[in-house]
Amino acid sequence: MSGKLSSVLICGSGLAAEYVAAALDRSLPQDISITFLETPQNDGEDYLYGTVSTPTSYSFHNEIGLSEPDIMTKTHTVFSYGTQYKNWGDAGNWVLCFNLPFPVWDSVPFHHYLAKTNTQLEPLLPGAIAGQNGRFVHPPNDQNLPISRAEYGYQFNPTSLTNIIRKIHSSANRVVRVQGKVDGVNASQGKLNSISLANGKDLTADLFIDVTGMESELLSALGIKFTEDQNLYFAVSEKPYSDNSPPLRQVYANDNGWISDTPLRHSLIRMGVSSPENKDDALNHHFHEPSVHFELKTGKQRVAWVDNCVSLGLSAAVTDPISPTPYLLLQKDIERLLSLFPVTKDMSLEAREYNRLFDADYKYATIFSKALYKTTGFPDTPYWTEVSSGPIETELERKLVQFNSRGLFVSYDHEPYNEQDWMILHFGMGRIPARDNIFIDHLSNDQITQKLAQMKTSLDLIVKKLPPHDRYIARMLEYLEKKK
Amino acid sequence: MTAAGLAEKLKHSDIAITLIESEQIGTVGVGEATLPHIRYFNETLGIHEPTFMKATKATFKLGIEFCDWGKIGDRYIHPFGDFGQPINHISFHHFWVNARQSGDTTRLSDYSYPIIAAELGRFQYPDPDPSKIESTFGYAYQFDASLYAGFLRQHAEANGVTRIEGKATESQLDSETGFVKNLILENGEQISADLFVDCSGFRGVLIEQALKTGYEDWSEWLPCNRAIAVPTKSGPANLRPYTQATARTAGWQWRIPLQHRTGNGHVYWNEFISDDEALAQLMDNLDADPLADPKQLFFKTGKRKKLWHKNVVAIGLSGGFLEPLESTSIYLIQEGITELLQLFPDMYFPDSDIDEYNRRMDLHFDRVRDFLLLHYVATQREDSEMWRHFRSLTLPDSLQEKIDAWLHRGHIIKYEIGAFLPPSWVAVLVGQNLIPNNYDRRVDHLSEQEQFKTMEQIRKAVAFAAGNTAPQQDFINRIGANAALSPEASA
Repeated sequence: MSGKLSSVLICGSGLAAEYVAAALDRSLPQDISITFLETPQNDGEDYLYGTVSTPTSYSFHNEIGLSEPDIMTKTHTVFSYGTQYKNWGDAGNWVLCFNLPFPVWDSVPFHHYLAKTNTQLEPLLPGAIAGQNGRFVHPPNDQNLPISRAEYGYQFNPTSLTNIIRKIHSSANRVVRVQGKVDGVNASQGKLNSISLANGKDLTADLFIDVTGMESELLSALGIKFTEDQNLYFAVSEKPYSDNSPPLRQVYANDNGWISDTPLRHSLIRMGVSSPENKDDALNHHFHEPSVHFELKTGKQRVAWVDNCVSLGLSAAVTDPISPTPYLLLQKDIERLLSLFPVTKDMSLEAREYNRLFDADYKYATIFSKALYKTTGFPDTPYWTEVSSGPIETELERKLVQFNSRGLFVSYDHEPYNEQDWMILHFGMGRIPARDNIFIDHLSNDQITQKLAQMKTSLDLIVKKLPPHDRYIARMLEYLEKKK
Repeated sequence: MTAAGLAEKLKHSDIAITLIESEQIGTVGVGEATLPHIRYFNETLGIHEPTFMKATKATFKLGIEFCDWGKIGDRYIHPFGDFGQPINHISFHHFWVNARQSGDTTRLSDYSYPIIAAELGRFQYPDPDPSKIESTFGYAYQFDASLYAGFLRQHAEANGVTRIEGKATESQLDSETGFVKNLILENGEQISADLFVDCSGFRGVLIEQALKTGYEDWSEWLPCNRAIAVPTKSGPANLRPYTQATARTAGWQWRIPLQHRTGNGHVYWNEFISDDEALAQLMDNLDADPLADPKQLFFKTGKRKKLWHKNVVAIGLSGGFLEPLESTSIYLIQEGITELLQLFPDMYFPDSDIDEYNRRMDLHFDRVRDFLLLHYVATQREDSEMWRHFRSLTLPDSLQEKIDAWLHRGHIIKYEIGAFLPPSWVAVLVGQNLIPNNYDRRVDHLSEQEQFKTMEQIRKAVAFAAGNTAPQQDFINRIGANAALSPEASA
């Protein structure tokens, strides 16, 4: 019999490391010791988590003890309804926002009525309309108001977010922090024994958590191979910004990749992704010499948990930040670890189940990003040819075939993105089902169009009354200041 | 069900629906208990619940009581609902396991409103307020399947379905496409259609006899292959809002209380018991006088290799059969109809539609199979050859992994698509004495005192709410669903 697990060592730094330290501290009983070996910062790698989160980040933060007021008052984070894609091949300009489930009329999902009448979804999406008008409110409780259907995440600087978690968390918790540089990872028989520090000390634990970033120092010591997907060049620059920051990130396609602008309070983060062969061209799209830039390979570890070592975040998978996928996967990694935190030193069962779920989350989150490229009309360059016409996974193909054919939503168990996310994506990308839903054939288009027009009118009316995003935040901060 | 379901959705279209039915064949009477999904089907058809209950002599169902499955003398209810409520986002059963390890003797059932209400013979609708313990359940019905078929037939005909009395004997295929072109009835009449839905029962007149689709035999996992059904007079006065499934030496016996009678049956594996012995076991264990002669049924568990092949969709017994242990027969019919409506074909019959239908239905069948098999293998019984057989059976990986994860740490490997969600798995596993060795470590973040206090509050709330719930018979009377008080009663 193996005994109860009693010690954890977190090794790494940055957002994943701070998140997992906070999460374990909040969840685990006191008889499990948590040591956090803080290794030197990873030179801006955390920007690969992206600068936008999904609506699930609200409850995730609450669970790890990070409240929305903390985030808003202590960082320059703003609210986010989603991302606007511009110059996006034949899809043109469109918004990928977050929404509560769409209505079902007469047992037929809403989007079939749109398809039948050739109506666009975006004008009916409260997040898209409010976002493009630079307006924001928290979703009201009154379900009759169309804006109550909008969901929101955050636009953030991952470094600031990391710092605030560290600050809030390190002042009152039992995690033992050790600063040091990894000098060696000692493994035998497929298992980690200890980590040697540059100062000669050795640290050991029952469970090792690898949050060392793309280097995956611990997992690689166990001989785990990284399965590569794509080679990319990545760069980040930032400039001061004083305008009303819209609660939308904007992504623009260029000849050899894309750039995104994420407005925060007082600054604008520009992130660019391109093929490594065109990095000189990519640099021209930045405000100035990028503060962060490097080449990278997207992909995932063959397995994320091996014996007594589990890797999280960038140590486990590096994904394209075109969508909130990288951040969402980090969140999923932590939630998965919490729900499967080992009970004994024999953690083979937990590892097996964790890896199964990790594979599924990775697959279903990355196909969402890949679906963002599946259209025509992008520049005729190697980068765009590869991303728009490359081979696709069976699961994505099935989703595209069924939607394109008849507007049917194909789902799999526990996908990170829900039905409305996919519908907004499909409509935004200009996909039109070839066949109408036969169950609404008898309805006249005028009847449906009239109903949809009423929805649009009431949405437009309410959006006009919403406060500008920056003013809303300013008032919220004033209120929070007074409350102190 | 298929005719009614399609007719409702296609009533505004120009698609003609013909129902070919034979009075000679009748309805196989093993599917008299249902799962909560049936309510959605009825609602979609616009069926008024009390009218339907009167017409089908239905009772409410809060779950199934399993007797003698883990060990002889055991009994537990698999409810259509939750156990307790999550604490700090952690499933309640982890707290129960911890309490049990500390000597607590309460049953997990004590934290389930539908179980306590069922044990007391009570029923009410779920409370719409999700914060209340009385909201934490769903319900289904126990009804007379033949009456339900007749009730739905009326509904279908009212929506324009043409019913032809007759028995299909053979069919003609299109020589180019291999599609079914015509169905030929016993009287020689030929019926042509673009799409054929084969509801011809085990015979599979179109899916198998005509298209030779093939059958996946699951006897290896679910070897029971015969059943004897017999109705009896209503049993004890207190109308039970649950079905009973009692394990026997070579199978199990069902008891389904309806308003006017009780449905009974014995499902068994003929390898270990003769038909005569099986009949005797059934008759010896009835709690009231029989109302008719016993009816013998033969089946082979499994499913068609393709539930949709060419222009034929097999729904019901023609598609597959997984024995009625968890009332999944009608559920699988409903899923077949729902998926067909989602993927209703045009004249091109795209392979992608057929393939997607089959993928979805395969998933439903696979998941039901694992859940049914769990009942047989999560046992400590060794008193007969059948139980000894199951104790040494090598399980499908998908089920073995589930059991291992549960025993090691109370973790349920869950899925989103399928009939049985985590509380169902917890009910059967705990009910059949598979208690986890460990629980989620996050439980200990709360002090034992805090844990016990919260658990006690839930237990008391359950007992109080169930105690204040009306007896089922009163509730049936109150909503106007008592068949004895309606004109249909004399039918």
